[in-house]
Amino acid sequence: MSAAGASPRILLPPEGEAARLYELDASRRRGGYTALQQALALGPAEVVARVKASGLRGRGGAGFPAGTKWEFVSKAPDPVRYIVCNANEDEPGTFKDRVLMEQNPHLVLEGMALAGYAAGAREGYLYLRSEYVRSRERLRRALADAAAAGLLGDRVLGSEFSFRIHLFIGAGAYVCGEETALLESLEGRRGEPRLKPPFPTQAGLWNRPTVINNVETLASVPFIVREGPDAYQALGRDGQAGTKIYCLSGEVARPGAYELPMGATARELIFDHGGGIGDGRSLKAFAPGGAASGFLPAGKVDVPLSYEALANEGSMLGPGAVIAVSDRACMVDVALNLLRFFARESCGKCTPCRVGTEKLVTLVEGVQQGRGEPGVFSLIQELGPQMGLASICGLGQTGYNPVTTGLRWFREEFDAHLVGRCPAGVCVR
Amino acid sequence: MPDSALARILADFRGERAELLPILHRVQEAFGCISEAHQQEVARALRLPLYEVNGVVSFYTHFSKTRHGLPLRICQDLACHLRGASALIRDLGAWVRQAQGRGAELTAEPVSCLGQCDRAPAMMVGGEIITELTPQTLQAVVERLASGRPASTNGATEVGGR
Repeated sequence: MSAAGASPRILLPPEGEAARLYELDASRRRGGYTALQQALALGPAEVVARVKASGLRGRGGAGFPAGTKWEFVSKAPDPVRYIVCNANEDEPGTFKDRVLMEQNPHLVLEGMALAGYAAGAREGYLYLRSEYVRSRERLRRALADAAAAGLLGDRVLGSEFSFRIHLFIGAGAYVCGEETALLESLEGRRGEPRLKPPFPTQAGLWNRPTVINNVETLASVPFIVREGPDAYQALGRDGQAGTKIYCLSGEVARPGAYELPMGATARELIFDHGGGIGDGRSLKAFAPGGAASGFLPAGKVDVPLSYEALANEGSMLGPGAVIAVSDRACMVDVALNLLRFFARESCGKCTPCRVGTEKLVTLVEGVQQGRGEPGVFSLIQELGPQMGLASICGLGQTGYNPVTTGLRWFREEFDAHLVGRCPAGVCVR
Repeated sequence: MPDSALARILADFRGERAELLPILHRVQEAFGCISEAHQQEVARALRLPLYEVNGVVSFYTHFSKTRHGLPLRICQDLACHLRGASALIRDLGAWVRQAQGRGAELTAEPVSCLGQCDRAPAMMVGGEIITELTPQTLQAVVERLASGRPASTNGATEVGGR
């Protein structure tokens, strides 16, 4: 299907192959749980060392080195520790964890068990958003099958290591993807983020040292343990480690989840894999890293989709979700759509985010409807970064990007609305 | 006065704070809402003040304090928006109002991203995800639900997509 040819996959089943990896037998035929077996012989310190040396960074958005997190918890004085898998995938444009959990749930469970072994935890929680019905079914069955086969539970594979995984279902809140809000939710509270420090590695679930990793991060670990850090490093491009499941959505011919070398470009993703923009239209802009990353213009499609390269463009990789926007769309309308998402999902705990997200919606609604005051854009450009500085968590710290990046790259479209004109002909009044 | 169906749900739990969300999921599923009476009984069982339970119920979008009829949750976020969700949401509102006029217990509920951006536009009804919506398929979903049939024709948990 892809014009760019096959690239190595370590997370999703091989392309074109009907590998039912969600079944335990099929998973084990392809090496499922062999990394866990190996780890039990290597010892926890060596597992931590391999993950550190691999350069694996958080795939949920923050990009924190996974091995460093594991090391903190493994050396914590408190012997009661937890592993939490963050599967509250809620950001517009993001669906990679859903595809991964549906197609390869055992890989995620093996990654959690490896984290438990390395960090010295006996219990793990997988926090799954409630709308992922098929993921839930596949994970439930995978958990039962793995426990029955002695791969999870008491004395894993006959060793001294015991590890139990609990599946916890969320209740509809984007902010619970923020790690400390997720912990609050797991403890039975409103999903409002905690002030940091202390960090979850110090005082996490029930104040115990806790490793929280994204689904894709944990699923990358079995390959690292089995094949070694160098083999993992070699999968990435230009000094980037590993593979990345990029989500492609929006106005493209073939949206989907594509596992590519970390550092692939938006051009490869949108045009080679995604078949480009259909209906004779052209690419105008794209969000490189989900709703919070804001937009880059089409001229930036050759920028590698990596942590550093996107940061250098004033954007971010986030969870690796590219949303393609064609010349048919209006950037004011598109920015407003995303601002409304952040305003709706703000938990309300801190004022800069609660008030700031609403204020941005009101201001941009005014612009869209031709009621924008002359100074409105400088007000927006002042308000956004203030939210970034003063908000407690990533939602308020980044939720203004859709409009500030819109203003940066598409100022003329915003200006046109001030005089009552929508160049794309989308905004009606 | 304890609701016996609720008492049976509570009997499945140990009575710990961390069980609050799992309990509320069961209550919501059984009664279609979590009323003030339900909240009081859950608060008693977990030895929590009522405001704590109420605060959690009102925080999460999947819990509702009153019964509204079956929610037709349709995604309003960017990937779906770029593929025509705004027009679909307007249509859905009109079709649901018509169905309500004929006595059907349905509600249109625009929601945040459902994580089906590769198969946009998407909606969720009960435990069912329906993707790659068109005005025709959406209208058919409303018609089927209004006449008491399942949302999709084949009864699968996920419809559409690849």
